[in-house]
Amino acid sequence: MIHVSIGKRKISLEKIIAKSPETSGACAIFIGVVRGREKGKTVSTLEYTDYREMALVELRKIAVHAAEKYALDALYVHHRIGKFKPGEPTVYIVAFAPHRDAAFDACKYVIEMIKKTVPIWKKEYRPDGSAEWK
Amino acid sequence: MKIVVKYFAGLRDITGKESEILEIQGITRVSELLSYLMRRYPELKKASDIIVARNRAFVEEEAEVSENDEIALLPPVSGG
Repeated sequence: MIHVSIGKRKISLEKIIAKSPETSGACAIFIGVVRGREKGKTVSTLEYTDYREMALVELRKIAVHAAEKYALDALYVHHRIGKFKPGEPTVYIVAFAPHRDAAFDACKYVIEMIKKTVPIWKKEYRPDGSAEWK
Repeated sequence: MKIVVKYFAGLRDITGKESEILEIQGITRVSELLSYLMRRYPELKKASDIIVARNRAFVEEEAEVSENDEIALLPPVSGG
C-alpha cells in the first residue's frame, strides 16, 4: 500500500502504525522538522510552497519506485505546506518492511529524492523580518 | 498560439504573478520561450538554474511548446 499526500495538516503516526501490515517486522519513520538555526542565523519561520499537481505526481513516482526497490509492505509519505515554526514537523515518511534494513534504506531514499525532484520550495524568515528563498 | 505560463517561489517575486496566459508567435521550443520571458522580465536572467516543466513533467530546453501547453518555470527545488 502506497499513500502520498501534501497539505497543511499533520498526520497521525499512531493511526498509521496501528495499520501495520501482517508481513512487516519493521516500521521506520523519518520526520523532517524545522531547524531553528541555519548557518549561524536564527530561523523564526519556514514557509513551504509547492506546485501541487506536479508535486503529487513526482512524490507518487518516488514512492512507487521506493516500494518496489526495497520490497516494502507499505509506504506513507506526507509533505506539509504552509508556515511552520522551529521544531514543527514538515515531512513524514513511514516505511513498513519485513526487515529493518529495507525500511531504513527506503526512508533515506525517499527523503533524498524529495529534495531532488519534487517541486516544493521553502522560504526562511528571520527574526529581523528578512526572508530568503532556499 | 496560446499557452499558460506558471511561476513559482522566487520566480513569482520577479514576475509579480503566479501565472499568465500568453499569446505567442514564432516560438516553438522551450529555449525560445525562455528567451522571450527573459526579455519580458529582465530580472529572470539573474535567476540561476531555472527548471522548466511542460504539462507537469520536467523537460529540457529543446522540448517543443504547443498550443494550450501549461509551462511552469521552477527554481531548483528545496523541499524536505
